[in-house]
Amino acid sequence: MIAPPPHSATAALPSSSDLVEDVLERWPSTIAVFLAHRMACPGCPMARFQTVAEVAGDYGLDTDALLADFARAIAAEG
Amino acid sequence: MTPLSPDPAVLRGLRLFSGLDAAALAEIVRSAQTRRIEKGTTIFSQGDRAALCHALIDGRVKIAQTGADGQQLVVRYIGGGEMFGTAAVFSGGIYPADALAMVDCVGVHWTAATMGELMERHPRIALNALDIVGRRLQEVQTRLRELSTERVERRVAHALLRLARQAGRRVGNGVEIDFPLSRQDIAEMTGTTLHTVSRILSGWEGQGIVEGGRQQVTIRQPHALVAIAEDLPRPGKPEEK
Repeated sequence: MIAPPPHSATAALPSSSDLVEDVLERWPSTIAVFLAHRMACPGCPMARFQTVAEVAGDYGLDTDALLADFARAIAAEG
Repeated sequence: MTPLSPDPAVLRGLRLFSGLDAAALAEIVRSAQTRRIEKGTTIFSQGDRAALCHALIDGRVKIAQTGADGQQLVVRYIGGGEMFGTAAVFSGGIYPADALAMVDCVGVHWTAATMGELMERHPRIALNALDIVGRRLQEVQTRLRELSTERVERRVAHALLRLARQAGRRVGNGVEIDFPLSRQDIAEMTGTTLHTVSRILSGWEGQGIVEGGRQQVTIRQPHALVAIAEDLPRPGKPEEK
């Protein structure tokens, strides 16, 4: 067994330093949150280079509020 | 082009052979020729008989087509782990473009007959090839739409994003396109002139969106470039006339 990496692969919820592509892959229910905020991240070639905090800044959103939206979407998914 | 002794490890990371077991990979590598390719080498030329299926282990290869009018169009850039010249082997039999080593490369190739036999023995290879060709077809369709409908500024933005996806490396808070790329290369990728590309890139440099040396481009504001490519509303920038 290989030790799991200490990032989004094992975390329960996305964090501000996670890469957007990792968040989209690990928690597909967040796609709806990105779209609701009219963010172009799902499918974007830059998603693998940018963190949640960076894209929140790009769209003028509060990072903690965005993370809270992610958490709600993930919880609703069950 | 110096021959090297084959090592199954070189096939790891090649999508064409994903899902095959160690015994199959060993067979595949035994039937391959591995070699070093010096920067500047023409690996095959447009119009040559397509006799070999190529894969790039490491390096960067430019696939470029010359039109009847002498205008060159960069079809795509090949990076480590990608196949090239293979579709031509199984359709038509003539390479439709030149393949040029942009840096020192390590490549591997099979004869058309050998690849055909490998595919018959391991149908997984043929399925992987179909997946690769299907994805490239989708890319080509996207580019065709860009070329026929989009303003040149958006085409240049899309070209840089495509290259960053393929060969991007995060530097600071930006993304560097990790291989030599001239403004002429970008012009040839987007079907426009060197003058137009220079004007667009200088404008973006002035806004701090990209930063470029003679042969190198770094995307400093990834989101701003996406906004141009996708025609998104841009923060702090008034609607264009």
